[in-house]
Amino acid sequence: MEMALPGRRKRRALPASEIGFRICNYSFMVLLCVTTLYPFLFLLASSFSGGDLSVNGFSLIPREFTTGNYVRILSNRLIGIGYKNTLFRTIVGTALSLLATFALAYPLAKRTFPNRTFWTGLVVFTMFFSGGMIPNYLLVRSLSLIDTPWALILPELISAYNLVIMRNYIMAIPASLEESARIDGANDIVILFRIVAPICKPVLATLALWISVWHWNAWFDSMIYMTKADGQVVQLVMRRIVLEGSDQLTQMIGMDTSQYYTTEGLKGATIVVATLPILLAYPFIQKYFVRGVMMGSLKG
Amino acid sequence: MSGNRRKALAAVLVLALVGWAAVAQAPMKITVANYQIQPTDQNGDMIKFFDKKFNVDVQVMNIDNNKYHELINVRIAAGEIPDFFYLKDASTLPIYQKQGVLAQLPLSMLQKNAPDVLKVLSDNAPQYMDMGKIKGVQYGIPIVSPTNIFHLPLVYRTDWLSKLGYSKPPETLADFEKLMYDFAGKDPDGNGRKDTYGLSKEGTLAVFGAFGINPYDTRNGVYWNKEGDKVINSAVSPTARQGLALLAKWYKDGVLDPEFITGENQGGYWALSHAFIKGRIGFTCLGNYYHYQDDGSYMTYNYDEATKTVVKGPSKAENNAKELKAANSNARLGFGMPLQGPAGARGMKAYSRLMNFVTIGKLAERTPGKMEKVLQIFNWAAASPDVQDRDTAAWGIEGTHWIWADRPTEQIAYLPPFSKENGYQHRIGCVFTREMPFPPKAPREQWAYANNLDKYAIFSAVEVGLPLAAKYKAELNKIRDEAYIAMITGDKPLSYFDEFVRKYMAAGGTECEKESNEYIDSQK
Repeated sequence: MEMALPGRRKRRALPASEIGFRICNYSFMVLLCVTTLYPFLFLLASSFSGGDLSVNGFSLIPREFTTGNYVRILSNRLIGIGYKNTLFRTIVGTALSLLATFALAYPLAKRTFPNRTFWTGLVVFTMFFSGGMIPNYLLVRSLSLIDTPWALILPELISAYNLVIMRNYIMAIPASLEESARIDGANDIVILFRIVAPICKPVLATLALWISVWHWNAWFDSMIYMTKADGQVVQLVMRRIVLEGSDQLTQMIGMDTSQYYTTEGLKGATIVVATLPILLAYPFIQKYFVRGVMMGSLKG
Repeated sequence: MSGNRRKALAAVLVLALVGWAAVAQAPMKITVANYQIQPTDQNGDMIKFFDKKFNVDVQVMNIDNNKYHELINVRIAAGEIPDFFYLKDASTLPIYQKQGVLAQLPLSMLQKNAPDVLKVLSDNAPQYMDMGKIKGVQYGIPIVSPTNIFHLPLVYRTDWLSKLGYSKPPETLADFEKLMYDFAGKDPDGNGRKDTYGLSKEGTLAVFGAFGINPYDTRNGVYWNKEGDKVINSAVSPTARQGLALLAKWYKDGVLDPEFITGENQGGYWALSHAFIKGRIGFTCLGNYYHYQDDGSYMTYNYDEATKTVVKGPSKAENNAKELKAANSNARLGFGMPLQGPAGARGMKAYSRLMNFVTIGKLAERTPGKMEKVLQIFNWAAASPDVQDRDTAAWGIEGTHWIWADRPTEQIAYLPPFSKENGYQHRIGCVFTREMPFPPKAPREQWAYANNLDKYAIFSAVEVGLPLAAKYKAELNKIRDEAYIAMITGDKPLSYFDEFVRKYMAAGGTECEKESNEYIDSQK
């Protein structure tokens, strides 16, 4: 006699329409996955190729397999320095941004906060208007932040968009929760960190992801505010390596690029080295992602 | 006055004198913005070298080359104008001049402090110094390429030539046409399929060259052709029409690659012609001569770490030559001369010799002697008659960063670890160097001379970037490309040319033509 295993039920035959739908659905999803994954795989293949893969057409098999590209990239002094700077700005920058955004969002979420609309309006104003590149540079310079890592962290410390999401999330927390804590003798700070913060974990995780990805990818501020090689971030170093020799004008202005242009393989290796860490971190934070965005949206 | 008080007073006086002397002798601060592919280390060997040799305090601004003008504009707006100010884009000279950012360079000051710069320019590129003038006043020192005297290469698949019974590349347009038809029709790759073409986009340059023009653009604007007393835009020149007529016929007959619209390069390094490498076309002009030099075209010198000596050896195949061999080991390539056209014209596009400008920032005027100092340093670094000085300024200190490999041909070999680092010279602080048009002596350029690449080069009649040309260039090029493609592919008949000219002139072509002619007149 066949044992009926618990949890294993006999499959019902699916109707033909359902099967058809599933076939379409799955093949579409697989296609979607392939189109998303292909660029990564191509980059990976190209990073292990010795010659110029562009000549070979598109292929997922490395041409003249070599690890030389990685050896060259990882021995580049600036990549190491850039990594250190990027890690610093990502970790410290994200932590400070979260703290500052949270600290500002909490009072703005309180209906009892005096002139709340005015202060919120002031923050939202910055979403639509900005001083522009030159005033920003002047500001950062007059604060003596040029060539310090704070030039990469402080100017973008609080993003208005993130703040609004955080504020809306906090507004959805029932007031009675805080009142009961107050009856138990908690003060404002305790309420903020012991009661409100734990509830806000999903939105905090979401914002942390956004901010850290932003910090990881940012390079333009480093280009403007960091005038010394030792302060530049890895994305800027990568950009320079990838663009080297791609500019035909460089040729026309007489710089002979044929001897030291960046091969496709070297470009691939550089991009992999610069993006892999954030790619690896992504899946672990992503689960908070959708939840956090949904919960913070459309309330106000 | 008591003795003590007198002593105290004397002491104060001495201290003040010492202080004043210290201030007076503090090295002059010179800020520098120049081309760089790596950020410069403020403590680099060559920064120290310049500081000591010229008693200055060199401050590098480290402007990233890929967004040079955007970044330098921010710094200028914030009041940080570099003293040594390199203009990557030559057409920005009038713009910065108008903004009042540039200092005037009086001839007497140049003669006194930069005599070698003036000499090398007047010896090898006589008319170029005037291109740095605006309304008769010198603002920029022109940077003139030593190697852009060579025109773009005309490269053939010589194995296809011999297979089809040709002993050498064609010299005239008529012979060239016959060859192109054979490339397309007589199955030169012998695979039994009709899958080859004569030429693609870049090859059309050779065809227009046989009519004496280059209808495409230069780095600094549109291309100008001298016709009689006036200059006219090459794109709308009546001779361009003759070239288009021929190309339209070739397109119809399947000689011109239909993919000419998207070009020969399919990504990667810009000078690779994928259509040529893959054996789709048998003729190309993409890139420079040195992108096609084969194994052993000339001798090179490399430092051998094991023996600690310079080793002479045959050069390696470059870019296109290397990839062509990798794709097809039987493939051979060879160079031809510019084609002789039916009306006797003969030429081929060359890149503009004027590349960019070196200027001095306005703020340098405020410190007496600073402009002179900047000119003296630049004169030594870029134009010293002794090549040893120029190589020191460009590559670092002999014995530390490089050694002589072959003095007569001015060949140097880089020492490890610098030999493995792209742009190390920018990192260590070679910040005052720029190319000057000294006649090229290197083996690679001797090869180009030997192959007559300096003959029949076509340059634009106006090389300098003018404001209106810069303003309208993008729009004008778009109109040109659309019309050219339409006429070549047969979407529009050749009679459309007149309408195209009208459209082109109305969209800014007239203004640009006026501007260029005024410029030519002002230079007389």
